[in-house]
This record gives sequence, C-alpha cells and structure tokens, in this order.
Amino acid sequence: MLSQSDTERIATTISEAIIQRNLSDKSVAQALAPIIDDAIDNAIRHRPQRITRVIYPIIGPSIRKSVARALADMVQNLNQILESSLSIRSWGWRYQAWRAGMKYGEYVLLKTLDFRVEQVLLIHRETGILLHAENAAGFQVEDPELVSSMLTAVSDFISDSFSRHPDSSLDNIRVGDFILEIETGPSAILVAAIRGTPSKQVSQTLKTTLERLHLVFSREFDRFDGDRTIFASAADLMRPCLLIKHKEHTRPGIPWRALTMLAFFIGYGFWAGYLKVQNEIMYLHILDALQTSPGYVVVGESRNMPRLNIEVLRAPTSEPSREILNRLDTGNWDVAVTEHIAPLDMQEYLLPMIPSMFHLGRDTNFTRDGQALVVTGSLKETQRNNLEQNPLLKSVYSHIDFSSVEVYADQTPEEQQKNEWRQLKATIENIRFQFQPNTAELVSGEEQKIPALVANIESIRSLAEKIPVYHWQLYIVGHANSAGTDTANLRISEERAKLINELLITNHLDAELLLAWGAGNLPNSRLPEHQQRMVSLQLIHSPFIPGTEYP
Amino acid sequence: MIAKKICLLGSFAVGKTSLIRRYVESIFSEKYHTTIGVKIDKKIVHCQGQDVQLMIWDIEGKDEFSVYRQSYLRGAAGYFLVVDGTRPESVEVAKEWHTLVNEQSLSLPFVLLVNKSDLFYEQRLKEENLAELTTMGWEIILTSAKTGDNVDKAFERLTTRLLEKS
Ligand SMILES: Nc1nc2c(ncn2[C@@H]2O[C@H](COP(=O)(O)OP(=O)(O)O)[C@@H](O)[C@H]2O)c(=O)[nH]1
Ligand SMILES: [Mg+2]
Repeated sequence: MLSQSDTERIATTISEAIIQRNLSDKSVAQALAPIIDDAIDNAIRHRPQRITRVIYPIIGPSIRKSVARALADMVQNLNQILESSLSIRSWGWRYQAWRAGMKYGEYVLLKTLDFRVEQVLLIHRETGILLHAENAAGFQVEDPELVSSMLTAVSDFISDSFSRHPDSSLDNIRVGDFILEIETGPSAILVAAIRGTPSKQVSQTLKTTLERLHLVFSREFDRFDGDRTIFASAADLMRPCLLIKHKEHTRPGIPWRALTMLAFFIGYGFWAGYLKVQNEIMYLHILDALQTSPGYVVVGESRNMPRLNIEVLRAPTSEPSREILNRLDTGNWDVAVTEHIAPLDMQEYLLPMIPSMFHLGRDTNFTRDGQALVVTGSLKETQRNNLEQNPLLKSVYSHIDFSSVEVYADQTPEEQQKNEWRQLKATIENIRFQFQPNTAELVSGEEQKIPALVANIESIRSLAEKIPVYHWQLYIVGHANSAGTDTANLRISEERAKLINELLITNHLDAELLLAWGAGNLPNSRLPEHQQRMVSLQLIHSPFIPGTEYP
Repeated sequence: MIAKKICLLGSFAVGKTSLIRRYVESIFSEKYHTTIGVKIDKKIVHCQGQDVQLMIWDIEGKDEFSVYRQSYLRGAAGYFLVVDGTRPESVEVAKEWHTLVNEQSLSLPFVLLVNKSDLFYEQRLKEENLAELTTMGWEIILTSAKTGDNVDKAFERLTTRLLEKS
C-alpha cells in the first residue's frame, strides 16, 4: 500500500521517469502495448459510435446534404408562421437568434422543444428500400427513400467493417442539431429523425416498436420482392414513435425591467470586453519580456485573472526575474515566476532531452562539438527543419551540424511517383487549346503548347510502367460555344478534337492511347463564350494498386 | 408501388456514373465524376403496365472502399455489367464481376452494356470479344451516355427481366 506522500512523489516524477527509461530501452513501450491494445478493443466494443464518427466523414456528406436540405425547408416553413407574430418575447428571441447566428425559426424550435421526433422510417434491411414512413404533422424529409438507402449503405459498411463484434451496429448519426436514431433488427431497420436532444425514451420506444414490427411482419420481410403495399399497415405501430417533449414555458418579464437589464448588460459587455483586451495585451507583453531576456527560456505558464504563473529555466548568470518584473508594468496581473536555475552547461544538459522533445527515434543521435550540436544517423526532412528552426536550440548552441546525418525525403519513392503522376495529370488536364470562331483552326500560337504536352504524356507513360498504372487513356474532348445549332456544334467540336488528335499522333504518340470526341456545346459552361471554342484533355486511368478495380 | 434495388458493376471510367446521370437527370457531362463510396439514385420506370421504383446503386472501384463491395450487392434484384467499347480489358473486369456475383450464389438477372457507342469510329472492341459472351447467353445492349442512345431502353430491359423473375 502506498502512502499519500509516496503517491505524490511518484506523481511528480512519473513522466520524467518514463522519458528517461524510454531513452535507454523500449521496455516502457513493451509494457504498455498490451494495455493500450485492450483499451482500444474496449473502446470499439463499448463505443462503436466513436468509430462511426471517424468513418462517417467519408460517406456522410451525401446523407448530410439531403437531411440538411429537408431541414432548411422545415425551418423556412416555420419562419413564415413565426414571422407574423410580434410579441415582446418574439423580439427577444429574434435578437438572441441573430446573436447566435441562427434562423429565427430554428431558434424558436430550440427554445420551446426538448426534442421532437419528426419522422420514423421503416427500412428493409437487406435491400435498403424504404417500406414505410410516418411523419409528424408539417414535416417532410425531402427524400426519405434516398435517405433510407444511404443509411443502410452506411450501417452495412459499419457492421461489415467490425463484423467480429456483432452488436457494434450504428446507433445514431448527428447532423447539426438533428439526430438520426437508428435501431437495427434482423430484417428491418427503424430510424427516427429527431430535433433537439432525445431522451432514452425514444430509443426504448424504437426498440419495442421494431420488435413488434418483426413479430407482425416477419414473413413479409423475408419474402419482400419490392411490393410495399402491405407495409402501409405498419403506420399504427409506428406512430407511437413520433414522441415530443416540450420545455416548460416561462412568462416574459416586465419589458421595462428587461430593457434596463439589457442596456446594463450591453454596457457591461463593452466594458468587460475592453478590460479583457487590455489584460491580454499586458499578458503577452510580460511573457515577451521574460522570453527575450538573455539566458531565459519560458517553459510553462498558466493564468487565472489576476494570477499569472510563469515557469522559467534560466542560466545562473542571468538577471533574476524579480528585477525584470520590477522594471515592467504588469497592469492588473499578479505575476509569480517559478525559476529553475539551469546547470552551468546548458549545452550538455539539453543533449539527452532532444530526441524526446522532437519525437525522434533511435535512428537519430546527438553529440556535441564545442559549442555546436552535431546530428548523426538519419532523419526526415521535416524533422531536420524543425531542429533547424527551433528557437531553444538556436539560443543554446552556436549552430547545428547536419553534415554527417542522412536526411531522407518525407515520402517513400512510391509515394513520390504517385504524387508526380498526380501533378502531371493536373498539368495535362489544365491545358486547353483555343480555336477560331466556327472552324477547327487553332488560334495562332496555340500549337506551341503541343511539344510540352507531348513531353508530359511521355513522362506519364513511363511513370505508368513504374507505379504501375496498368491502363490509361487520354481523352481529347472538343467543345463549341453556344452560337449555332446543336448538330453544327457537335460536328465542329468533333473536328477540333480530331485536329489535336492528329497533331499528337504526328508527334509520335501512340494512337491507341488517345481518344478524341466532341462534346458539342455544354449548356452549363461557366467559361466566357470565346473560351468555349476549345479542346480540353482528360486522363482516365486505373487505380494505382493493380487489380483493385476487380471485385 | 414496387421498389427494386439494382447495381452497376464494371471497370473504372466505363461510364457507370454517366449512364445513371443520363437516365435519372437526362444530362451528360464530359467530366469524370469520381464516385465517393456509394451513390444512390432513384427513378420510376413504367414497365409492363405498372410503375416500378428503381433504387440505383453506383459504386466507386477505389481500393479504400473494398469493404463496401460485400454489402453493395446485398438485396439487389438485378444488375448491369458495364464495359467500355474502346477498352477490351474492361470486358475481363465485367467477367470477374459476374463470377463474383455467382460465387455469392446470387443468380440474378443482368444485362451487359457496351457503353460509349458514340465513339463507333474508335470502337476497339473486336467482334470476338463479345461473341463468346453472346454464346453464353448474355444479353448485350450498345449504349451511349453521351448521346443517350439506348440508355432508357437498357433500364427498361433490366426492369422487365426483374419482373419476369419475380
Ligand atoms: N464519349 C463518351 N464518353 C463517355 C460515355 N460515358 C462516359 N463517358 C466519359 O467517360 C468518363 C468516365 O465516365 P464515368 O461515368 O465517370 O465512369 P465510371 O467510373 O464508370 O462511373 C467521363 O469522362 C465521361 O464523360 C459515352 O457514352 N460516350
Ligand atoms: Mg463512377
């Protein structure tokens, strides 16, 4: 059993101890590894939602978009209803909504509701097809059918990814202040779209409803062939899920009192804001004074107005902090400096701490040569830059000697090749050939773009073999501006594409890799008319990892 | 109304996304729209005297989303295999997909689309590339997402096959 003082003593030294031990061998990491593994395992098992939070950004946007659109519509409707009411309270809310940067309707919903289930969707699990939707009055999700399919795609993805834990299904997705609560059963999924903060009651009700639905419709779920008529009768079972809970209403106070209070708060707000800025400036000023004093390094600081604690490491010969502070206007701050007098030889003292300071492994070693710091072994380019630019190292050592360290690029050669590919692709696709009106004749000077293009394509070709990209094509797409008939535009755009195609072939490019076609006039083009007379390029290619497009 | 899930399978850039856009929104853009993960569209087809709601699943062949592929086909009533008429190797990919679907013991109706038929003068697919497939009983339709040629027909054909099956 450890005594209180023991615990305290260990607490103060534990991080240093770990760092020190880690410098000599890797036993700390080995000891911790299984514990961390367990912790991660645990997190996945008990908090699958966390994982979804990580994955969701990849697939979430399309869902978010439809939900957000539906939401915007709803708020719009509400706005119209509320716009006409002009009570004192409504003006107060209007002001609050404006301050919070929200729409008025949104704000009112938030103020008056704890939560409200706007819609419940019953989804066939296997196909992702929406079987039935029940709406709260006045609410309509833009496209519940698409939302349903996308939700199954998401939840399938989650359960496929973590199939070892069968109960790690998706529980809910948060979209702004809108929550989709998801209850997954063996054959069907029930989803509630909720405004506000739902209580446990919602998921409870969803659970029991879903169980009942399975009881009633189990045969229909299994034999579902796309015919949804029967599920209209699920409405009665689903309706109880449209739960709603109101906040308690408070009467507005006497307006005059409220207004006086408001005036007072606004005045106070300005004054408080002014003080805050003043204090902030002063704080930076104090910190700066210490930091720039010769022999000083600020290693920590914390503040809680009016208290400002600063921890410094300083050379024994440097000026005591007391004297620096005496010369300084510290404003409203009550400054306390904790000083650590550094050992005489800062250069020696710092040496063993550098690797952990810069998160460097055992591949990088540091020694001293007189006043200079010598780096040996190997390190990445960014790490080198970090060392080079660090103010502490700069102030302690005369210079840093990188002459005997092997500096390697941050990227592997494979990554470099892929980046090179992406750059080349972008360069090629940015090339446009402009044409004269109504003809397949280049604007003069445009043909000079050909040699560089040919060179780029040759580079792409040799890169394709190295990466490897096992198949690629260059699309040469002709365009026409909006003048003229569709057929004429199509023809001229095709001729333009073919001209460039010919030019490339005469420059010894392999015709097999080129594909020229006309797109006519693109109705939504954002380019000015004269620029629409052009040929653009597109590189179509297989994924970088061979065979990945195969199932 | 009856609802069915269908999928489009095929190599990169054969025109899956373009075909769906042409069918659902009647537009074609010359851009290569990289599909991120799964994209789902819907459209109502009138077929054999009834309306059918198609839920159309589009997938990107990117490696990062390989986990998707298992669930992608789940619950599908039928699918398109899409190949690019200018790329013989895309036929091989379509065959691989077909094998995969059958391995999952899903004997689903499908139609093979040879897309980009507007590039007839560039068409590099040889007769023999397709002859083998015809003898295997595959139904083949030449389409163009660019001109819209046969696109509606393709979706109607597949829907008819779905209805015959059920
Ligand atoms: N000429 C022509 N180009 C097409 C056709 N269908 C698609 N494309 C082009 O082929 C490229 C890839 O199409 P996309 O639909 O993104 O392919 P996906 O990867 O299978 O979804 C794009 O540049 C399209 O504009 C077509 O029928 N004719
Ligand atoms: Mg696509």
